[in-house]
Amino acid sequence: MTDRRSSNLTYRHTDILNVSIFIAIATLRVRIVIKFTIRVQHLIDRGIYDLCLWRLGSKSYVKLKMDKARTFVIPDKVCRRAGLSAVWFPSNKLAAHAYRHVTAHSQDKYSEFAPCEAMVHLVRFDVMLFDPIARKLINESNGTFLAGQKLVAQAGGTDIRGELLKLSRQYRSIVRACLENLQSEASKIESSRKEVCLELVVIFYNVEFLWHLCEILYVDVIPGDVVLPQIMEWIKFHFFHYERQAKGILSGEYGSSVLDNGAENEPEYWNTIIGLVLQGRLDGARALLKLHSASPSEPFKSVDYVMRTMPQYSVFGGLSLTEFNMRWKGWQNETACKLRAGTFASRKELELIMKLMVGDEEAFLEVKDQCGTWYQFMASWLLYTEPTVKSFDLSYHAHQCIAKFGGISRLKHSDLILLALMESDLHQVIRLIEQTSENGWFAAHLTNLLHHCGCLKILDSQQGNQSVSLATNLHEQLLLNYGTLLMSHRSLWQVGISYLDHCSAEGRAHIEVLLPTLPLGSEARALKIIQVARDRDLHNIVASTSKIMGMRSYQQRRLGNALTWALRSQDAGFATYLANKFLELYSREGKFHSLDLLDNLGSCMLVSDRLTFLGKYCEFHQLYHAGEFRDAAALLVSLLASRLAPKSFWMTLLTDALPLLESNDIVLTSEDTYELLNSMEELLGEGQIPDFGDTPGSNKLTTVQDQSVDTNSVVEEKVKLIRLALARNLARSLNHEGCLVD
Amino acid sequence: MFEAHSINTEHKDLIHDVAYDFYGLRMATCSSDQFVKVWDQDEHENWNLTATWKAHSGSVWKVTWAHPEFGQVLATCSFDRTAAVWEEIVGESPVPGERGMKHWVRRTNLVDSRTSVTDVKFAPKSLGLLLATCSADGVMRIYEAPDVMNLCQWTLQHEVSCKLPCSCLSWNHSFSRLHHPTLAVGSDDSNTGNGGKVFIYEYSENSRRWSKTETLASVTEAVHDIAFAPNLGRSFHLLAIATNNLRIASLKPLVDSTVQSGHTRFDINMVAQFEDHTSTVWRVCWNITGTILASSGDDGFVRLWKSNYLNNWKSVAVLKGDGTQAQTDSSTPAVPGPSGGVATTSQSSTTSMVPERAQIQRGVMNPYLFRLRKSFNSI
Repeated sequence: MTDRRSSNLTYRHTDILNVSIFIAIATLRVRIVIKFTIRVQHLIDRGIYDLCLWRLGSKSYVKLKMDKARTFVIPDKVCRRAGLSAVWFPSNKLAAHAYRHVTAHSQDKYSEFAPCEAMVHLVRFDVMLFDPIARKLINESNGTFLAGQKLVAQAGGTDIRGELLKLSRQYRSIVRACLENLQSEASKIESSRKEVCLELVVIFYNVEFLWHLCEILYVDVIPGDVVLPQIMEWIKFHFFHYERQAKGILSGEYGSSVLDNGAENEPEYWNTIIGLVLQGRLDGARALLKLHSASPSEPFKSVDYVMRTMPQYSVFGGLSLTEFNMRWKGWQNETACKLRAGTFASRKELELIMKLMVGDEEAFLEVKDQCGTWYQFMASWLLYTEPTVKSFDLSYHAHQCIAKFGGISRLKHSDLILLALMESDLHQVIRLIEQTSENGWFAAHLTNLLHHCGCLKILDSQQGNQSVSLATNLHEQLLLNYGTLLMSHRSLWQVGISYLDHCSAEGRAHIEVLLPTLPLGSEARALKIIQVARDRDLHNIVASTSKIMGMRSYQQRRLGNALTWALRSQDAGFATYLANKFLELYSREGKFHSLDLLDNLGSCMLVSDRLTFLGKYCEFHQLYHAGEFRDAAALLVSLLASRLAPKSFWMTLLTDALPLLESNDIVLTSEDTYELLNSMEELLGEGQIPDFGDTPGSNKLTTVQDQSVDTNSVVEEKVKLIRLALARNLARSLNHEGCLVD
Repeated sequence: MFEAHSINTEHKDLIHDVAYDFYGLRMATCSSDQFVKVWDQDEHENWNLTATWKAHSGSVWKVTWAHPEFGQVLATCSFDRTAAVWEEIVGESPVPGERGMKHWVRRTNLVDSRTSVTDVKFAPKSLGLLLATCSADGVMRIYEAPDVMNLCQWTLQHEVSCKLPCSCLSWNHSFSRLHHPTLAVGSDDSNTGNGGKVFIYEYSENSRRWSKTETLASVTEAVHDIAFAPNLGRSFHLLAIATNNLRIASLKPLVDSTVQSGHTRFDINMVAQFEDHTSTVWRVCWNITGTILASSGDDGFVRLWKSNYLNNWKSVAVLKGDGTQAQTDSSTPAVPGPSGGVATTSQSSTTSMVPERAQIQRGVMNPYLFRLRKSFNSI
């Protein structure tokens, strides 16, 4: 029985939902009540939060522990016997496995559990907010959030309260739009998704409900601090059960008897009128009273008069507060006189309504149940006792009304938040909001808004003066949490970063840690991450990401791609290594891979000497193939003369010089020839055996002996040829140059 | 809310260590069966076994990944007195860019220790490719691969004697360039008379030596695991210590001291101490942002700890293993808690769980899912 009551309470706000959903929830509720024993006290403690625990009751292993930390059971026999250990892995997932600690002193043998099933259990938080349906909410609220930050940054010291109020309304309309989506989604889809949608509906309904009050009390600037009209709007907006009933009666939906016999035959007639009166919807109440068969009679006319003449306070009504109070008192005295005179005695329903309107406490207690909640009760009570109540008095009234509804202990989570709001205890509000189950969306955005409104400064004065501002701390912490959460999502990470960007103290460090751990996946994704890092001047992330992509390409044997990434990372060592690989491949296969890249290195080749050489060497080939032998020859000589070429490659260069030396035209001057000769002597003088793939780290396929026998003979042959060519060219060039001098 | 997903690793004995790569997409496990296994997550979030090999001739204690900048590299340490570095080689594949067959080759075997090598950890990548090991004979060793493209060559750079048998070590991954390379070493020497069991070592550029800068005198019981929390902009470091209880120490560098001695002195405070495990704590592990600590203890529970913005630490969740399957779970009577009963959820999914579980095949993951409900927020 208690279960049912608590669930009723929890779902009270769902009045707003269309009927079909309400039925769906009701069936869900019944099922839950039948199936599970739920700790009632706990439900009341946790309010909206616990709604989410319910559904999973059917699947989960949730157990509640005394210290409120939950115990989760992993179904693994070995884990139970041996014990459990767990490690974290990105992003915020846990891997748990059976574990028995062994030390260096214990014997190295199979454990008592072997052979056993060694399971690893991956545990992760199932984030409601990552449901595809909430995506729009996340993105739209991000837009509003960023607009807010921009606004504050531009405002300087000017008052932007009005703008902030607009933002607050924007947030609420985003939530409302999300609710609409959820409802339409819930009405059409199958069971499992439906439950998720309904859960989200309840959560976000509450969010909007709380945000609205918060907006009234903290964001909106109300002249004279007369908050009641706004609070009445809030109540009317969220609880329109009676209004709907009234509409039904007025439009004759409740049967054709209304106009003939009077509407009082409707079972809900009086309840509806009282409900309307309690919400201050007097026009509706009057319209309903007119439908009563006895409406022309005297008591009805008096009631109509009282209702018509009740003064309504409005800032723009032209009345000062004192003037209004005087009028209001006069009106109430007049009504009280009528009551005492027994004007309404003949009709006890009318008498009750009048008693309510003069603020009679007994009458209010009588209709307590019709108010439903303590805050509705409070709003009605204040409407007829103290319509110009100031916001700082709300706390007192709230406590009075809560006492009438069974005291603090009966409050649900959302009630506690409302109470804290009325008590102006924002610290408590935020703490409670943090525990709600929309994964920090609410807390982060609301706190941010309140922060900009300057409301959080109160926190610091409340908490005593500490060196670091608690408010800023708290505000940043919530943004960090929310941003970090989004960072863990495959595609929402960019949204997450925009929140971290606005955390002045630790945001950058968070980005620095989280951004590189995003799985790189495709090249496009890697480039996007690099762009984001570059925008924030995080050059080490740019370099590191490029390097990782380069290593990956290299591992996949895509040398050209690897080199592109190496250039992006500006990693000289890696570029050198890859350049060597290219040269090695060239030596082995006689042609270059990824020639288009190598031919167009441009200034990038300056990253490393070896790469410069590679680039220049390719240029040599280009020139040679274009038939520009003179330029090609000059380049070749300069490569050797500048010692840019690795020694191991000299023989290749000298071999490349052969056709140039033997060409019909003289392309190498005597000086060039001397240079080549010099290089060759140096090479042979060092006794270095030129070897085609002698680059560091290369895998030699032939054994050392084979190599020396084979290559030596080849090299000797080559050396002879080159010497001959050099000598002939020297003779020719000297001859030619001699002629020129003459 | 929790969601879980189970993998049968097919190790023949208990797993000693699980390590994830930088992205959390690859998992390496090691066990008493002397094998190391590597698992890769595919795009459907299934984990596939891609390599398994006998890595050592003794129990493999720990396994750890190097930063992906250095390629796909693992290090292991074992009861057989060695540590080893492994690199993944992708075989020739007919089409470039496509994944070929993978296998892991041992790049080096570090045989300097004369006793069991109890822990192995790669240094933060900013220091290059550095590997620290510690062993039961009380020596901490730092190895370096001078050429990161050639992992066959490792030089023993430093050998530091800690005097007490070492059980664990942890690098301080700090982003600040002001901080010297720092690591902490723990000892599981059980004689409380031997003083503090956690040592902080720091590398000085000037003397080119690692030297002990601090000993945590308050920790005199055997230490089984330590872990520096990732530092995301805090001015102090956090060190979790698994000893006869769980402790969290804050190390605040004292600025003046660096100038005088060239070494950082720390202002060390125990910010939390928990007896919840009621017995020895074996392992500690931080999440990536250093906000939640997971500890495992002799009570067989894994406990999660989180601090609020006021730096108060508290337990936020507990994981426990239970062989009792769903059926028995539903029959468990509600255990009364202090405030009137604990919710015991009966299992409507009992029927669906058992067959799914039976489907777990060898090698291929056929995960069964069980979902544990928990708000992310309350963690």
